Amino acid sequence: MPRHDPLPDRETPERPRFDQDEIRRRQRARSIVTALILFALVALFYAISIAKML
Amino acid sequence: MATAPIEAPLTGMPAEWRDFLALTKPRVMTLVVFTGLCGLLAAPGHIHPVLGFTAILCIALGAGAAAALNQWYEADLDAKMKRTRNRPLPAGRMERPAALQFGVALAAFSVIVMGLALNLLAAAILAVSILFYVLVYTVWLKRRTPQNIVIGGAAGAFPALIGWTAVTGHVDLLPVMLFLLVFLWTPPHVWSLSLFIYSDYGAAGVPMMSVVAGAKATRLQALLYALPMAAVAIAPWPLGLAGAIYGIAATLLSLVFLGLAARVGVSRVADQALMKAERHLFAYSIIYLFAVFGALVVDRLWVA
Repeated sequence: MPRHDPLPDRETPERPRFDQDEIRRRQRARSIVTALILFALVALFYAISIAKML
Repeated sequence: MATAPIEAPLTGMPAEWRDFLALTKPRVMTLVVFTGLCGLLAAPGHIHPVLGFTAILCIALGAGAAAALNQWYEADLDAKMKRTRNRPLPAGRMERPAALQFGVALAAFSVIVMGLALNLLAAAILAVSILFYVLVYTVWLKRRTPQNIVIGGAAGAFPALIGWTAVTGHVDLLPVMLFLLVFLWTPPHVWSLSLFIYSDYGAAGVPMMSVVAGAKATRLQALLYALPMAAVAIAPWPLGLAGAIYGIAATLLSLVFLGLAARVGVSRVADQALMKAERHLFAYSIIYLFAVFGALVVDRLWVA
């Protein structure tokens, strides 16, 4: 059975490329969801203020 | 108790937003939102639709917060049960501090908004319901006593009371009866489930009634709780708190519930896979609660 040589030092990744892309994708998705929620809350608080004045 | 085999989270990998959503147990929230909405619609008086929506939103967020804090505390138990091991924390898709921060923030937000937009009594009851679920049920009772679900069931009974209080600003007899109805409904609902998944609870070391006292005692107790539950469900009619539409619907629905609970009570099936009566009672109990609360709203709106 062929034996796998360990990776040379220069090729040892700090974090695989896949992880970096995945982190960015998740951060982007969370930022979009957070923005949408904040926007909805601004609209809700505005509507609550109007409703309380009536 | 053995240390939980929780998957190690990927260090530095942020959880997906879907995992935060899953932390709020959206399916359980459906029933909470529905009973809260029914309490709100059945209450006398008028509420601006925006404020009504805000009240329901706060109830939903409060329930989500309680669910998130429950999963934060119970990650070790969830990892041991087939039904729960794929949740974000036991599956290693989220780090525990993130769940704790999310739960606390959601709880504080829901209570503060309820207090500012609706009234302080509704906010106080919402706060009590979250604390009751997290501290009394999750932390104190669940791992200690087979009566965990009986007392802990009160946490799930609050939404109708909160919905009513959000409109009226005070507590009346009818919402207290709705509270009692959900309180007494919880044991047969959960115990019927625990009967056909008792090996799961047993593996996790949760002292559910079916694990500690056995199937026979659990079946009998489920039936015994169904009796006062049916009485409380029908009572608003003779007490003049609801009309004939509700009374007839609640009576018929409760008789079916009692019939199914009686089938469970006399059943001696030991094989979990063959426990049809228990599965039927569990499924019907969900329909029952939706239908009884729905009938109350129809009745109240009809009278109005």
